[in-house]
Amino acid sequence: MSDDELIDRIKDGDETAAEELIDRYYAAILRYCGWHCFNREKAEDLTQETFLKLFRSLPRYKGRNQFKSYLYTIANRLCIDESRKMPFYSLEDAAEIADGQNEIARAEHREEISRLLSALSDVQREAVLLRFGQELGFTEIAKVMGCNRRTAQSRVRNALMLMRKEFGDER
Amino acid sequence: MKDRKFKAYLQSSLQQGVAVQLEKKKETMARCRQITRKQAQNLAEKRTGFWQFLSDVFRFEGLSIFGLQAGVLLFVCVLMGTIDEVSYYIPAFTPLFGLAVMPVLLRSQYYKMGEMEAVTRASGTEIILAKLLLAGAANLVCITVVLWLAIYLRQSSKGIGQMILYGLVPYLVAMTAFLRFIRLRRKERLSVCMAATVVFCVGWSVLAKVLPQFYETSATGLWIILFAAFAIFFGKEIYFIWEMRKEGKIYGIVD
Repeated sequence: MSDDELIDRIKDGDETAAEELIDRYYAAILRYCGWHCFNREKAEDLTQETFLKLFRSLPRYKGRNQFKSYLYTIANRLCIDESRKMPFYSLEDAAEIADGQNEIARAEHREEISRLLSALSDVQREAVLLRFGQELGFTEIAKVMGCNRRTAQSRVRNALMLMRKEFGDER
Repeated sequence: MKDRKFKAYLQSSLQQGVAVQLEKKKETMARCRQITRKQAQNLAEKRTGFWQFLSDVFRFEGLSIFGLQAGVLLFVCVLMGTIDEVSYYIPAFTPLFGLAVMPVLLRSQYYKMGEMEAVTRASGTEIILAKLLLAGAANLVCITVVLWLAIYLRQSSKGIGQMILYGLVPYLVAMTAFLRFIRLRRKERLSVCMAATVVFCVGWSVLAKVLPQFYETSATGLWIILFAAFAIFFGKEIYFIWEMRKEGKIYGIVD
């Protein structure tokens, strides 16, 4: 069932459809918010807030296969608000996001990525997170970031160049 | 590292799963379900779709529309049986089908209910559009029957394309004129439509009787041009109605 069909059912008051929609996107939104927060609890809170905002605004959602960009726009706005309160999460906090001892390797990996991301401007970082972290298309990225498609493309391209340079310097 | 590999590396790193706290997720679901439940209680009544609306109009107006058309069709069929070169007279008959629509279109004005219609949930123009759709369907059936009868009487289907044009062009001319009369005239709309129909029918009949060469010499091209031109005029009138339909306006002038 497509996202828009699920939303039509939710609008008709179907609670199981609501659960299915949350199930479908919860982990992805949590991961997205995780890259904007300093700790996991905050990421969980932001994820919850994203879904609450989404459900409150669903009667105004018009469909047309734009659900992903609609959802990520909400998450993006919340993350921007959050990042105004706190700086982009520090490298020391990376381990906190990782879950337990056996996640140390992942934390190190994440640390490396965080270092690469920190070389980018805010908009470039956002574009990379949406493109490679959430696999959004350029049109969807453009909608989330409020720019046109070509700008989104060039942000990703420039970000990749910078990251590759940074990556090469490290090695 | 190659570009493709670097992108793959980036993708796998950025898509590393973050452990979901099930309690928090359940809490989110519960709160969202609550919002859904609350919104369901305040669900706005769904608007009637156009097809539903059309079937409602059909319930009230269908009998008048199809009854009048059937009456005119019977009259035309009887008349056609008495004429020799029937294909030349087809243009004289088809405006009658257009005229038969007018009493239904003008009913609200006749009963001074035009303003009332304009402020209903479906605007007066939307009602006109629905009636026109129903009438158009009836007209199409009637004109087809007339053409079949013409073929039967001539015992030949030769020149069928031309006969279709003989039927459609005068119909479009008449309908465009009628719609413009409804929209632009303040009073006596039905009388003017009737007068125009008489002019059209007599005009085409005289042309068929006195100047049959017109049909013989005029190439199909001329009729196609006439058809295209009047289809555009008719299309413009329908487009005008289509554009007006959501504005809650009356189609025409209140007298």
